[in-house]
Amino acid sequence: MHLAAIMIAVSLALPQTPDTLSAAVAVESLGSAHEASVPVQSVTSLQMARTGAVSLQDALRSFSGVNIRDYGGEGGLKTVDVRSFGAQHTAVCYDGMVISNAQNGTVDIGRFGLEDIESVKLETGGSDDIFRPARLAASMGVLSVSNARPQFDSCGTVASVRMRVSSLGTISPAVSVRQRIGSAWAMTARAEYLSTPGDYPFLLRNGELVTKEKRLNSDVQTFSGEANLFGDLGSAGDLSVKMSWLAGERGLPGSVVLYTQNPTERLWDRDLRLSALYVGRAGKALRYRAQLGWDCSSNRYLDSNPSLPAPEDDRYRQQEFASSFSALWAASDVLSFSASEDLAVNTLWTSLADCPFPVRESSYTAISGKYSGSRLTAVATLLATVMAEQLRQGENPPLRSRLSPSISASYRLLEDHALLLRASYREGFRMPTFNDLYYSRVGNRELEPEKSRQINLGLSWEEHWRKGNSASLSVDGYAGKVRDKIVAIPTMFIWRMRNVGVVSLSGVEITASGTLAASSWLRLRATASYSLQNALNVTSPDAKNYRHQIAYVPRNSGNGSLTLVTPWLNVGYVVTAVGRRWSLDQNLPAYAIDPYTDHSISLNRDLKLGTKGRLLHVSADALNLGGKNYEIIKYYPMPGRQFRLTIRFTI
Amino acid sequence: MKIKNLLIIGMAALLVAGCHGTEPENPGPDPLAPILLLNNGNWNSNDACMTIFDMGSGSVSSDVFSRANGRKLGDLAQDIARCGEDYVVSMNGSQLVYLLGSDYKVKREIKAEHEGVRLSPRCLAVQEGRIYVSYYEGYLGEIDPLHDYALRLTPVGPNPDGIACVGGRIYVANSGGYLSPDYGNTVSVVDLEIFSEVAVVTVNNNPVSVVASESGAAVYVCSWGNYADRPSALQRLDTGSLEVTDLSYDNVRGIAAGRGDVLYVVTGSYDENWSITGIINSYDMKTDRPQGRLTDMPIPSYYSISADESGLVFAGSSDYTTEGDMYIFSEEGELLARTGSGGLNPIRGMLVQ
Repeated sequence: MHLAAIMIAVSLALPQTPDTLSAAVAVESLGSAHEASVPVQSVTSLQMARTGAVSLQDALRSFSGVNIRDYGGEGGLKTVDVRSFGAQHTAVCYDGMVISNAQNGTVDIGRFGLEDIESVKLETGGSDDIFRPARLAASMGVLSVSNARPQFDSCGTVASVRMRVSSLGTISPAVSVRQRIGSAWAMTARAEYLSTPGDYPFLLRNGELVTKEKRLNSDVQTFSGEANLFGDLGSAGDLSVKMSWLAGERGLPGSVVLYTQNPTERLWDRDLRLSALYVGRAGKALRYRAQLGWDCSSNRYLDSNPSLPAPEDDRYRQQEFASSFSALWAASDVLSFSASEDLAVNTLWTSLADCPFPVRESSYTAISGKYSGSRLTAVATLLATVMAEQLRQGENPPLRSRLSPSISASYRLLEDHALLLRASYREGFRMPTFNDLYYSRVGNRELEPEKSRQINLGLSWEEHWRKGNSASLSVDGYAGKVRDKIVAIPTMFIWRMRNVGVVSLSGVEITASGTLAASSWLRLRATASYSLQNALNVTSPDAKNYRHQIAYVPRNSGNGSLTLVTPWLNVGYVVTAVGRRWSLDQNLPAYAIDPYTDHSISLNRDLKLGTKGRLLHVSADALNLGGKNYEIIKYYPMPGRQFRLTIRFTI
Repeated sequence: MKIKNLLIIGMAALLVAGCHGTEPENPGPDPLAPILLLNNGNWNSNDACMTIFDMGSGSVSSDVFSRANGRKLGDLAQDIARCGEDYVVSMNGSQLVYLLGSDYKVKREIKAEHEGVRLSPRCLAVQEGRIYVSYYEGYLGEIDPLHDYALRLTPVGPNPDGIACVGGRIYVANSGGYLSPDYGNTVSVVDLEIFSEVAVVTVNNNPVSVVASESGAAVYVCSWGNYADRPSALQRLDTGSLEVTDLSYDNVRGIAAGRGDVLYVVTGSYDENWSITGIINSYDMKTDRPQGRLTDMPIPSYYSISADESGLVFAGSSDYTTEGDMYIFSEEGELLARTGSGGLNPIRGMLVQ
């Protein structure tokens, strides 16, 4: 805790910015979105800073109904699974652009830093926003990450330099610049480097035998950045152009194997993404949105396992060319309609001998209608998807198509109080990935889309009082199903992907939050959430795992946070508690994963230096205070107690 | 203690048979003796385990290794053999060979290294107090149970799997499991005296197990083919001439040596759910003649075949995602019991003596 002690000393010695408190009130209320007809959870940059969140997985810790699969460490894969539909049923949207991965269908959220991120939002089972890319309507959850847009009324250049270090050896410097160019244009740029040895110590509990071990081959080096150009074209609309890149190398530690440790796999990533978004207006009632994007990601995978005749050295490159066009017509004050058309082409090239070099063409067409009255909001969307694939080798798979309706409504029960009843129904799917279809021998070209559906019923309440005091509560119950789940069916020799799984889902999510101005110098904010998830394998009544909880889904989980904002120091505390899970669909005791709690504390402060708007942000965080190497994925131990110091200087 | 999924058939008949006054030439298995089951577990899951099944009471005590040693067996138990009073267990994932006492307590952990690389043991053979192990990195090792390292190592073919010891030689199936798409197609013949490869015999693709006849005139090689255009096969390798002849079995999935020079040959093809229903056939290695089926009972989701010197035949059934089942037959083909194996992927069974 020596870092924290230094922090407190530093904080007390310097004056606090006087306007931080009022800014906090303004931004925190952004996060509620409780009037939506579907559950929406969000967190703002300020809230994230207060709790010491530096990554997307940190930010998502305060959400309910979210299972983050974390393989541990900075480099470990991190995926988001909403309500246990499976990570491939959650879409990730970055500044309005859908991030996809046609090869394996999941997005590693560990790659998103929070530098310059303004908000993180999760919508479950639908959305009230009908002016967006069509393909988002296929997913059970939509995670939206939004960057801060430069303010056109602020002048000149804003630049910041950040350094982050952790007691486990992570070093991460970053620079970012925002520059206005003339009256109508602005640009932002950011570059970030991250290096970590990843060799964190952990206690390996093997029955009564407890040994001190070190994670091996878990090092990461990544360099990432992005540049944005924004144009405010007045009545003609808004244009934004983005380029982002990532280059990195990491070791893949694999699971801890008892009595021996010799991980031999490494992965190199190269990722370049270009996109442009134009939002325009035609007359008073019509708005349109046009988006183009290109994403090229390459991997090199090296396995120097000594059992191999020669090291396996594979290359993968996938590209996506995507476009999205939407039009929104406000038919009246309360009624609006939209139509969206997304076209995407995905390609995969690999160095594997039997790669058929698939090219996928997909079309997503969505039409939506929305009624937004004083008490009733209702949204209906119909999505039509058609997908065709061409192969360089072998027979082309059949055309796949899917029609997916969604409907949702919320009703304000009391005229002068924000007490709302909401109900929604959504059908979605996930298309089989290139790996599902074509991966050497395992793949199956006959696969159908994996279908999902859910119904949600909820109640939400929010109240605001003077001085910025507020409270909110929401309770949602849901039931859902995943049919034709794509699973690898093992046989003696070959695992084969098939549409056989059926998962029955039901659960309850409760979230509560409150903000209190306790005195002129103290503001408190508390949040809590609880999730009950029943995710049962109902594939076959004869199977030994029939009606057992599917792997890695906790029946009970929850989290809480407490933030204290004072003129001298902000204190953020976050706790996550996750109940027992199993690493196998059959809930045998040998496969149970112990419950865990993770506590973290952040002490942070923004200091105004001089009068020229220079700002120093200092955050000292203690992570996983309990210090236990708990596991989210069996035999992938998480780092123990860790201290982290972030200093950002902004001019 | 799990009694669920348990089926005992023919117990009464066995007990009656045991009451006869005259001792049969080959005494049948003691129905009250416990049975040891070895579960392979899933790759990288550290969930291999040993189970004791009591045919008398039908009770299953899972994970006897943990209870004896206070820690887990480890990752991927591949084979088990008896060495005197002790058991030898090879752990492919955990890269060690255990020598266990009859109380399942660890007597020795034998680790092998070659040029700084830990080797992954696969299959076992015991001959005159010495333990022979195939190491997947391409070696055959010789272990003296008095040492915790391999006494001798010799290179063989790629990814060696099943081995058989007969006539002063060891026959090693070089599966080439990592040489997809064609796999390996050789059997190494290693002389025990000089502990060195003296011949390489070409067989079908992907040889995985080898069984020797009692006389040592031949070894039988089961190979899985390349899962595409080269089918699986059962071949007879004449140990004198090193000539290889194909035996007329289609869709061979596994072999095991039974008592009295019997070779159990499992055949089976995929059903619509991509699972294999196994049929156990008997083959007389003395006369080199197929003897028809051991039993008419098909083994759903066939996973493994093993047999021991008591005359019991064990067929493992697994869907890889739930606890497996072990079918236990007498050498007459009578189903003595079917039991949950207490773990994933039951790979071997043997009578505890």
